Amino acid sequence: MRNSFWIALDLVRDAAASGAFLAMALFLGCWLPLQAGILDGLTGGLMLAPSMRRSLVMNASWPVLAMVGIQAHVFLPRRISRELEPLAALPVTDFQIALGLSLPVLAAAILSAPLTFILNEAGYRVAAGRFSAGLEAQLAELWLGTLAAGLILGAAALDGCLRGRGQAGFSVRVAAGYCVLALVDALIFVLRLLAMSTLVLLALCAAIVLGLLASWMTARRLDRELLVL
Amino acid sequence: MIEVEGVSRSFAAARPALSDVTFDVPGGSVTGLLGPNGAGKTTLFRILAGILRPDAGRVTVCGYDTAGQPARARALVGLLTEEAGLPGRLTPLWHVALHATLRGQSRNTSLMRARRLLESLGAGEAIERPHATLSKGTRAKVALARALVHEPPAVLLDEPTANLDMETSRQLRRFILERARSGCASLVATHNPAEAEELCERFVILGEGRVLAAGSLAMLRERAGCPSRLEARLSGPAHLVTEKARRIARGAAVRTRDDWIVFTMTDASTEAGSSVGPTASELVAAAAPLEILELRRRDAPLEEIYRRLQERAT
Repeated sequence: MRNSFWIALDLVRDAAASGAFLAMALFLGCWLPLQAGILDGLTGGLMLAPSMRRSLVMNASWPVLAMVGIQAHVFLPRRISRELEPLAALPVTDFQIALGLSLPVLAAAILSAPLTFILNEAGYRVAAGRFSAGLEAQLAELWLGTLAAGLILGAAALDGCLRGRGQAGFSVRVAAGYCVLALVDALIFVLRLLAMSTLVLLALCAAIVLGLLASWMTARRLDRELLVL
Repeated sequence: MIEVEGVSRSFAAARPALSDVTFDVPGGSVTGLLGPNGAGKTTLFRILAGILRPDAGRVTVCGYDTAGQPARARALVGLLTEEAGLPGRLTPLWHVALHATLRGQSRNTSLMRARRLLESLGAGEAIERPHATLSKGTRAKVALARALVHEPPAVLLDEPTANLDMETSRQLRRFILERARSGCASLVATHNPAEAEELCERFVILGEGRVLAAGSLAMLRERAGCPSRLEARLSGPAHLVTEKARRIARGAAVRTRDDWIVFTMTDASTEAGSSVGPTASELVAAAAPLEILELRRRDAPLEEIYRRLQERAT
């Protein structure tokens, strides 16, 4: 775990030192949900904002951006410029490397979902001076759904980085991730028809299963040799 | 220290990248690895460093099998990759210390060692500057520091002085030799035969994934069939000199060039007292009463040996 933490911290430090990544994260990841909330509050929930706010795609934008940003700005260039070879020569296990490279992506997916939600609500409160109705009911749906989508996308994008020989392969994987995201959104919509307790239970089970599946896929695909070949 | 036995590795291409490679790198010495592009040097380094698995054969580092005990073996190896591989936005101190930390040292010890090593390599002023802003020579020093920060007993250096200026190359060579003197087993891949001759005591010549020759320079010379030349300038009448030279040639080809007599010996084992050609002391003794004005030995340089071995292989 210690080794994975340091590998992850190295990736995060590298990403944080990238001006382009920070600008993208701040503008699209923070401003977009805040702006959507403000629009929602200003229009009193009559225009497009309510559907946007309820949409998993909007709320998932931050984790997706963070994840794709880390992959595109750090992981992929490192692989292309052979910066991962010294990492592969370290006396750490394949699993520790896999975990270390996945941690920033997973952390971004897990932590940024509630942050996005908070920003969205903050924008709404600033504009309308009140909370939207049924906040508690939406929390499980938005957070857990976003988490599940983030995990799936994380695995798909990491897989793309490792397998893809260039940007084309990476883009295809990310596009596939967005398709999965849309499916998850549709699934959440159907689940909204169920009782709250049933929904929470199902969402928890789905998050656990999908999380395990994503971790297993990542660990299985991440072979030390793939870092350098 | 490093033992390679029958290592083979194939990729998708028809020809195997490595085929039945066998040699060893003893401790306290620098061994040169020479071969043309595509000969399998980088693949071999990756196998020795435990990054790639061999399809067949065995690699041990200080007795630890890189396939059976990869973590133990990797802990004993320092790898300098062909590309420096330094993240452009991060700094040398962070990067080198990170590698020390990932090798099990405490954070404080890692930072202290990284700082000390970078300073001893002459990169002390750059330790807090992003890699992207550093010169090629400084980047090479940082990459070398990363490979040595855990003081490994075995180091693998893939073209350590490629594209560096003479002064930086000299500094790095001196550092590598100091490490070897302290008992470290060093394997250095290079395209520069003159540098290899200066730096290394032993050599491994690769060609198309196979070991063409391995051993000391004298052994390589013998294997390649490169002639050694003993050149002498004797005083006296020309016919007497020529006659004398033929009498003491002992199987070596004799020819005259200007006022020099040249003995060409195709068997380089004369150093060990073999029967082909005269040794310098034999020549001095046999030349009497003629006087030897000058005497010089011209052994084939590594570059010629390398060229002959590669030509023979193809």
